[in-house]
Parts: sequence; C-alpha cells; structure tokens
Amino acid sequence: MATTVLPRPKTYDDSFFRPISLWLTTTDHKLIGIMYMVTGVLSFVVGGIFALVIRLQLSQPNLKVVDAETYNQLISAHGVTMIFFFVTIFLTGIANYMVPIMIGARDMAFPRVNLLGFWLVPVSIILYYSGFFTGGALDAGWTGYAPLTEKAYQSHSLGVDFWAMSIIVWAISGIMASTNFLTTIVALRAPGMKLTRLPLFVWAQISTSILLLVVGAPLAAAMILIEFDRQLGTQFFTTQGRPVLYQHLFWFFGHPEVYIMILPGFGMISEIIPVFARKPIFGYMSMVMALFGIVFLSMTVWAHHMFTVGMNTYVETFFMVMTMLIAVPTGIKFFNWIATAWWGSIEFTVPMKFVFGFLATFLIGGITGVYLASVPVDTQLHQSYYVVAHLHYVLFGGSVFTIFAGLYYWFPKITGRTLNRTLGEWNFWTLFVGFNGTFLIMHTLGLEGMPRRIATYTNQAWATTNTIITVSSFLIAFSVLLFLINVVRSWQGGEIAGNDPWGGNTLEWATTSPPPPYNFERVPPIRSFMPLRDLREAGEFVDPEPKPALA
Amino acid sequence: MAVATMRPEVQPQYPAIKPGMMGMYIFLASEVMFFGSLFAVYFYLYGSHLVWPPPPPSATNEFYVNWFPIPFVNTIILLSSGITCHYAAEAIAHDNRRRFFMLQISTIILGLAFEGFQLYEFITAFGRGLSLTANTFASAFFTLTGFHGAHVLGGLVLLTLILYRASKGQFSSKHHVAVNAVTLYWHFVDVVWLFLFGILYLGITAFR
Repeated sequence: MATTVLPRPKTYDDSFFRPISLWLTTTDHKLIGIMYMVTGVLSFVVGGIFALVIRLQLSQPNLKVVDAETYNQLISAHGVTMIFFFVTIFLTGIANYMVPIMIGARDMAFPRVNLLGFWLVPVSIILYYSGFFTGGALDAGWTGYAPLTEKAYQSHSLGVDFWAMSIIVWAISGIMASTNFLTTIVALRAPGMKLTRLPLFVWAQISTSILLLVVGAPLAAAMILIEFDRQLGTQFFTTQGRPVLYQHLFWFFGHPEVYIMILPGFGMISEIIPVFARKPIFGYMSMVMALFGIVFLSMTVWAHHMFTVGMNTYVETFFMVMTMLIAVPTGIKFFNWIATAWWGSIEFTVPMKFVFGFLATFLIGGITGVYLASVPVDTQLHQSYYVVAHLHYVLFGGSVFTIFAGLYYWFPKITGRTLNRTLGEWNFWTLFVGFNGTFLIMHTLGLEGMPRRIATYTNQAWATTNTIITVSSFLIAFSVLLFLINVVRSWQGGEIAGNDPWGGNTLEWATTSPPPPYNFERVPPIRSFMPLRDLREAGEFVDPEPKPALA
Repeated sequence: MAVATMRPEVQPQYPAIKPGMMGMYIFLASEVMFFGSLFAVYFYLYGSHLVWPPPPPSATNEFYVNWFPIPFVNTIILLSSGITCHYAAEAIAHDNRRRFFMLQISTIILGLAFEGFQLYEFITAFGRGLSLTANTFASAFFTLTGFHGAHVLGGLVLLTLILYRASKGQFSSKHHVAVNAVTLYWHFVDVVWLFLFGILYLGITAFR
C-alpha cells in the first residue's frame, strides 16, 4: 500500500520581518498574498476609524464633531476604503495564497504580473488619500454620481480627480489579478485535478475573476470619461451628455462588485462547513451551478440601484424580476450549507462560529435585499437608513464574517501557528453583538425615514436609537482590536499548529505550514474534490506532525 | 502510394493551450468589455438625442469626418496588416525566419501608416472646429477612435518588442507563444476598428 508521507516541517519561519528587499521583489504567490491581506487589514482599520467618526457625529441630533464638508469626505472615504481597498483586496490576497496550493500548482501562471498587480494597489490607495492633502477628497459618496463630480460642482479640489485615477489603477490591478487567476486555474492544475474536482473555493474564485474581468473595464471607462469631462471638457455626463449614463456605467460595475466581494466568502464557507461538520459538502455540482447563476444574473440587475431616476416602467420591472431571481441560486447555496451541517458532528471552533454568524446575518441581508428589489418598496426606502442596514448586513455580516472565518481557518496554514481560541471566542461574540446592535435597528431608523448621507439631523425621536448604534459600533471596534491583538500575539508565540490542525479536505493541508516556496514536494493523488479525506479514509495519509488537541 | 514517414508519436502537451495564449484570450475579454462599454455610451447618447449626430455649430457640410477617403484607406491598411501579421506568425511556426522578419516589418510599417493617417485626419478635423469639446458626438467620436488609436500604438510597441526578441533569436518553431499572443492582440485591434468604421464613419456620413 502506497503511503503518503509528508516531508518533515522545516523550522517555522514565523517572523514577519523578513528582509524588506524580499517583500519588495518577491514573485512568490504566498508572500504576495500576505501583502495583499496585510494591505486589506490596514485599510479595514483606516475605514473603521472613518466609520467611528461618522458614528460619533450621528450619535446625537445637531452634533458638530466634524463639519458637513468633512463628513461628506469621510462617508466617501469610508465606502471607497472598505469596498475597494479592504474587502476586494483582502479576498484577492487570500485567493492568491490559497488557489495555487489548492489546485496543486507551484505558483500563479504569471508571477511577475501578480507582483505588478499587487504593487498597483498601494499606488491606488496613495492616489485616493492624496485627495485629503489637496483641498479635500471626494465628497460625493463612494458612487461619485456624475453631476456632483463634474467640474461645475467640484472645481475647488483635486479630490475627485485623485479618486478617478485611483479607481482606474485599481481596476487595472483587478483585471491583472483576474486574468492571472483564470489562467492559473485553467492551465496549471495538478494531474488528476479535473474541473469537477476543484475545491469550491477555487470555483468561487473562478466566478469572482470572471466578474471582475468583465466589469473592471467598464468601471475604468466610467472613471476615464469622468476625468475627460473634468479636464478635457468633453460632454458625456454634462451639457449635451446624460448624467444617468454615468449611473448605468457605474452600477454595471457596482452591482457585480457586490458579488466580487461575497463569492470568495461563499467559497470559504463551502470549504469550512464540511471540515467542521465532518461531512462532504451537500450538492457539489449545484453549488458550482449556483455560482455561475449568480455570475450571470448579477450582470443583469444593475439598474435596481436607480429605481428613482425615472426609468421606463418595463425596464424597472425587468430589473426587479432579475434581482429577485438572484435569491434562487443564493438560496440553493444557503440550503446546501444547512444540509451539509445537518446531522454532522459539528465542532464549534472559532471559524465555525463565524460561519454560523455569517449564515444568520447574511440571511437577514439577503431577505432585505429581496424587499429592496421591489420597485414600490425601493421607491420608499431609497436613500434611507434601511438601505444602509441592508448593505452592511450583506457586506459586513456577509463578506467580513466570511473573511474572519477564513482567517481563523487558514491562519495556521499561513503562519504555522493557530490563533488563540479564547481571544477568538471573545472576538466572535463581541463582533456578533456589536454588529447586530449597530445595524439591526438601522432598519427601523430607515423605516422611520432617516435619510442616509446627511451630516446631522434634528429629529429628537431618533436620538436614542442613534446612541445605541454608536455604542455598538464601538463594540465592533473593540472586537477588531481584540482580533488584531490576537493576530500579533499568535503570529509571534501562538500554539504550533502542525500541518493539518483541522482535519481538512483539500490539498493545502497536505503540505507544511507555512508551505515551502514550491508548495509541494510531491502532490498527493487526487481522486475527488476532497483528496485529503480520501487519503485519510484509505489510511494512506500519514501526518508527520499530528494535530495537537484542540483547546 | 503515400507512405508515412516514421515520426515519433507526438506526446499530448499538458496543458493543451499555452498559459501565455490563455492569458491573452482572457485579457482580451476585458478589452472587449472596455470597448463594449464605450460603444454602449455612444449608443446611449445616440438613443437619448432626437437628432443624431447633433447639428454642427457651423453650417459646413463636411463638419463630421467623412468615411471616404482616409478612414476607408485606413480600413484597408489595418486589414492588410492583420494578414501580414498572421502570416508572420505562420512563418516563425515553420522556422522561416527571413519571411517572418519581412512580414513583421511590413506589419509595423502598415500600423505606423494607419496611425499617421489617423493623426492627419484628427488635425484636419480640429481645423474645421470638430474638437473634443464641440458636442457630445464629437466627444464620443474622439474618445472611441482615440482609445483605438492608443491600442494600435500599444500593439506597435508589442510588435517592435517581438521583432527585437526575434532578432536576438529567441523564437523558433517550438517557442513562439509571445508571437502568437501579440498576433492575437493585433487581430483584436483590427476587429475593433471594423466596428468603429461601421458605426462612427459609415453610420454617420454614408448611410444616413
């Protein structure tokens, strides 16, 4: 009987402070992945600080923590930072790290394109924040609707120009990354890794890359046209042009971007549940089909963000129906996850807690999404706090919870050490309580008519609710602080994880933690989409360093 | 009677398609979307104006760029450059380096000619008062053709790089992924021009 004996793990090189020249020039997908992730987490902290200032400003009526002008810059910066520089970048990072290992490749298909694609991200971030030092950053919201960003309304500062430049650079970086991912997954799979045996996280990354590839260019086009309007005096969105055209271009990117931010999360959930429920994923092919259903549908729904601009009723109906249809593939995924966990011997580790937290919050976000898809309801709730609550339930309760789940799940693989469990529990519960305390009552606030994107309000009836929201938002900040402490502490002196601390199914657990630069000395035989589980069940998998008992 | 010569059996290559080509195909998908969204902008503006193109500020007949002669000649030039480019890649695949250099250099010359004519056409248009700021049609016209021109320029840079690498002897019948990928890009640029020519030139000045 052939026995797969893994190589002895080397001495763990868990020092983050490796030579700076190595970080600057490496083409190793793992180091680039870590750089992506660190950039993402830093952006999360910055965007979070913006959010805290916003919440302080709104905690009571008629407050003046910052003036209205600064407030508008802050909400725009919060949105841009979280969407462009945190969630998307972080997820690109984790995929950069995991996808080549999961398909048994040594590196990405174009390592140098990967390096360039990463270094465009700091360029993009610096470009955006340069706006703050040139008379004020973008203050038209992260969407930057056309008449507000035109020269006639925004001539006092270069903030809008920096924003447009930054997003163009970001889009180019995203297109590079997606091209790289798709080529890697199609061309560099290990022998035996058929398409039908790809881990679901890899499938999710395929769908994400397709989306970013298709909608990244229209985003760049929209920003270029804004810039032409501002600097060259063209007439795309002003005078003879049409402002609504900008909204179409932007949301053709903007809505798929929502799925770019959640599909890798779906993939992570589909990886984590089977491991901790000790069951294979329920309905593998339907999960893949659902992903592609979402990819297709998400490109046909963009105008549901624009129900109040005065479109043709038939057009509105079309977008309404398509939007509601997205609930079908998402529902398939949801029921499959529940069916996977059903009757499983669930191990309530920290990643699994985040998974269940995700399932609960994302369900609320999804259902309010169906409400908002309905034209008459949306006409009422448009630009109210109901929308803010909805989008945070899908982005924070959805994407950020999956990010935490993925981090707790893969941190042992990336650093060789597990994150501290006690701090992890605290992190989860404070985050869960803080999150729901912040955003659940925003629904009520929205139904009562509080508009979003206003610097302050005078209605005393909203005071208590807003105070609760502000207090809860600081609980989130506390939770993130716990998380950061946990990462720093565990990276330096956490418990040694071993190669396979969770009993994983996919290939990344068959190599050392952290993996060597070439990933595998020998790729294990792949006979299904859970190669490691097959080996373990056949008794052929010998882990030279057995898993330490879970605390 | 044809007797097959005994050749060693060709081992199936893994992967079947070279990552370089694959990458170019995938990248071109995003390029298609880029030009696609610019065309979408054009059609949106077209659809939301009662008179298209908007009447010129001066009553000259020749305000908008006529499809004949320069754009028509440019179409022929670009299409022929596609043919030379294709056969250049064929030549290197058969190790015919002499023919490769001839065809590749003629591709570059044709591309430069296209850019020259385009520039001349732009300058004469500016002289008639048709500039980027004249009206919304002019904005779209110059943005679309300008971005196409920039892509042709990028293609020329890539073709020159290929020529340089070939002069160093880096390509052979076994190794020419880069040549094929750049050829593919060049064909894409050709196809975009056909759409531009049909919509922005023929559609405006020939079939109205």
